Amino acid sequence: MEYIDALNLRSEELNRMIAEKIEHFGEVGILNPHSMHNIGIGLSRPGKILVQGSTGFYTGGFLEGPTIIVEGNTGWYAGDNMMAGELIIAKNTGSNVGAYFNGGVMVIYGGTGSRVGYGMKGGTIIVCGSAGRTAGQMTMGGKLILLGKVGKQVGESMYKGVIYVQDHEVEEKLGSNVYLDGIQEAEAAELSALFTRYHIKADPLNFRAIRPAVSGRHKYWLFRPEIKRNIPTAEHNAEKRGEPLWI
Amino acid sequence: MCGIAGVINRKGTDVSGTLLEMLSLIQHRGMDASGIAVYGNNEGVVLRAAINDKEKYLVLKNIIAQYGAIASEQIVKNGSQVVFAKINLTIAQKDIPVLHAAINASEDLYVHSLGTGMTVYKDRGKVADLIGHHHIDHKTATHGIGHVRMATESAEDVNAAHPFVSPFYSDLSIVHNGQFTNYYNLRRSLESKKARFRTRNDSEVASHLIAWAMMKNGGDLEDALSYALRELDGIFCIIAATSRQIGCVKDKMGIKPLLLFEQDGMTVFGSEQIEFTRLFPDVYAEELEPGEVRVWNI
Amino acid sequence: MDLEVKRKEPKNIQHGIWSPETLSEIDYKASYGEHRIRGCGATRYMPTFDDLMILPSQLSRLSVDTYREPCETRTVLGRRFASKPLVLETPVMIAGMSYGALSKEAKIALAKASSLVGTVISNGEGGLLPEERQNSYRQSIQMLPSRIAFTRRNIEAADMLEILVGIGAKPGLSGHLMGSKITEEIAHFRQLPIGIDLASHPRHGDALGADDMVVMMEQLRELTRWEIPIFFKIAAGRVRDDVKIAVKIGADGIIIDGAQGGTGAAPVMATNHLGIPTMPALVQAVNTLEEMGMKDEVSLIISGGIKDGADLAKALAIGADAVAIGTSAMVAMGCRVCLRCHTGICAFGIGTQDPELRKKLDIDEAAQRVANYITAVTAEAILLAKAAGKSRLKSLEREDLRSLTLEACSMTGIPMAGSDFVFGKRFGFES
Repeated sequence: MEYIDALNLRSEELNRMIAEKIEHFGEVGILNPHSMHNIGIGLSRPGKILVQGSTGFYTGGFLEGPTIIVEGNTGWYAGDNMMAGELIIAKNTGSNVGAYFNGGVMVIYGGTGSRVGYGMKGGTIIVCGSAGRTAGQMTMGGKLILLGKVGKQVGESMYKGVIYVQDHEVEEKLGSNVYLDGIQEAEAAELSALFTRYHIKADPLNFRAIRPAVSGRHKYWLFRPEIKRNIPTAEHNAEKRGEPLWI
Repeated sequence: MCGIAGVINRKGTDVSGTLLEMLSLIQHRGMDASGIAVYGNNEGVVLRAAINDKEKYLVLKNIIAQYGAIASEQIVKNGSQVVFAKINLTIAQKDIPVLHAAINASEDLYVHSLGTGMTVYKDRGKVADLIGHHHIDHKTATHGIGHVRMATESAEDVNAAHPFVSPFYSDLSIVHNGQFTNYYNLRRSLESKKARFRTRNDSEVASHLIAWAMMKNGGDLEDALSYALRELDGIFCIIAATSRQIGCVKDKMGIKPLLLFEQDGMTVFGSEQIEFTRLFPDVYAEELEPGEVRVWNI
Repeated sequence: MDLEVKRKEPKNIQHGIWSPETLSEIDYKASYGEHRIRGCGATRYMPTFDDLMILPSQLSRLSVDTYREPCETRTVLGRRFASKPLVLETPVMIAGMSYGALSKEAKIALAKASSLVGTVISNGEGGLLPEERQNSYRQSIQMLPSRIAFTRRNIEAADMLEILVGIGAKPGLSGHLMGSKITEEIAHFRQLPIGIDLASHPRHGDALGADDMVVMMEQLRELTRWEIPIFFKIAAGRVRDDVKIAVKIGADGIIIDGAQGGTGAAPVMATNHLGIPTMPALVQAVNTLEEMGMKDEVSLIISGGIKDGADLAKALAIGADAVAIGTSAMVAMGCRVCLRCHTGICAFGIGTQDPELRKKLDIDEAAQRVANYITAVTAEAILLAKAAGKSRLKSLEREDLRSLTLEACSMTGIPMAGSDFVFGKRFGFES
């Protein structure tokens, strides 16, 4: 395999060199990524890129075609606005990864931070480890598959799309405007295929689906006073007197 | 807006060198100013002050003379009108905050740090400028914090760089990433407690607020940072240090990053993972939870 | 004698703040327990460019013949870093109004108008309608926190990018599209469920904060090969701080949207009480860029209640490079500013998704009307510039202006007409 040493390169140069190498050799390895930002953004030719180390922000952003494998960790915003291809992360990622995801597959074998898949619109994101708070907020499509523990407010105000979770305590952590559902056969088959393809040991039957609520949706009350019961109200007083409400 | 860094070293690594390296790796987060605070050296009580003009140096010396004596002094220039003084003092512990307030009250003088075994270096420009103009070399140090700044206000004012200190508790220094949205209200409230603000940088309010809490609770950093979490509004990550403690706090919305990693007797924190990579090439840092306060004893 | 004389109460009594409008608003809140959301921007009085006058040439300088001598209007935007800056025939651009808030016919008409006059049109929040791109002269693409219908293809189709931080009608809030306007077609286009009221994403999920935005900007530059201008669209609020940060992040230009800016749907309280008006925002932005020494490098576009060539001329004189029109373009197509855009019942087929109502808008006629309007506005500005002795719109300067009111004077630093006195810091040289 061909290699590029990223130690003294700026991301623009590195990405150009990666594009050249893939065109000629179909695959390339990156040495010394040293948590650089913007590695692999916007690459659109098919091919394989093996990053031997950890990366910084926006890894594989706007990716459209190749497979990027990061053998270490990535920083925040990995896979942002991704269009197609595969982004495989062997270890963990920072927060806000997969924001505005459009297509392709991102697999995180470790854990991720908060806000994974924000505004996701298509494609598939699989997190084998734990996910932080507010996973899958305001998604508009796509599949978010969370194998490990999830944080609070998962699926907050989803418009469309689905989140598959294994966490047994997810009921207490659901966001607003969503509900918990069983998964269907077709969905289980899809999960099975994905797990096989990415060598993930998991049983689809352990999963449940978080789906956008279909009624009473997206009604936000900015002010909800908490009224103590023993404060007399018109209703309360009317009840006490045995009278009907005058309102 | 900014980048922050912190390090606890328990095995004799070069703390100031490490901090400066970490900050240079996040230089893109702010190029207007940078600064570090280093603790645990055995130089005794040290004052680092900025003076608007070398003519005013005498004013500083006169104020010092009222509370203590100068053991040694060193002047540093950065190519502008401002001069930086590093002065070793003999002074009673109880007089340190009084001296701090007295210097702070003078128009042309600014305390960058005043404490035992503690030194703050801060200046405008990039980390390379900080290293170039100031002689930073600490053979023994236990911990430190650092900052690079993207400014909207007063970028030219060296005193508006972080870390910030306060006469309420001179030993404390803080660095801040984020934006306080109730700065003016808090400033008024602290001014009524006799705080004297020297800049328009909203981060300064955190130094007075936390220092005041420390003064009231006898030096409990965890309690002071919890208090700050309740009082401050906006989005923020703050790293605070005294000679015996170092801690961090993240606001309840948890938007700004604060990562943390421990290995080989060293604890590092910062805004981006890239800061840790020279020390620990294969690192996965933990993210502080929203509304979390964490403090270490040194 | 009858000492009790019945007094007649006066017929007309002043009501002060308890006007019929105030009473209506209170009735609404009492009925529904909610804040009211409606279309359009602020309709309350605010100081505007109408409070300024332009000084003409007379003896001390000669005017340019209104009809027989030329005046240059070509405008270049985004020169700072972009290798392909926008070159427009007129400094009037068509502001971002979403497909969803507007009908397909209205969007196509606006795009066609841009081709008739040689200017740029912005797509708005709702994604890029293919027909819009097909018909537009130059296309600006907005990147909003919601990224609705936004993919890499949008970046590739763009002649200019606008990273949207906020709009003048509702700074600090996100997008609104009421359920009644989310038809099947819109829902499909935007990937939303039908029938909900959309309150879109509040922040850019891939850049939380200016420090991350610096790296995001690098990403966008790499993707666009540094070719197209990248602007920030910012609602006028803390103009000074926002302009400084935008410049530091590396923007080619900034669009400042003043409080008079319109929108399809916004809470009334937000339009009327958030942000600052267009005129002082522009002055503040110009001052800030000059403080930073960046005025010649960074392009400045102003929007929010621009309605005629006088607004355009005065905005250019203060230091804008271009203006963007939204509401006035709709009015040119037939809108009567009934402020009911949020209901989707637009009798003119502009702010509606109802197929029957949409038939009322004739695309080519509407396109011609908007083109006529922009042509006339540009001509008005030319007329005023020539009267002031300029052969180029760009030559208009702040020293050509005088204030008619105390508010305008102290907000802008432009001297009072007649006395040349300034309340506050003078904007420009003593002239």
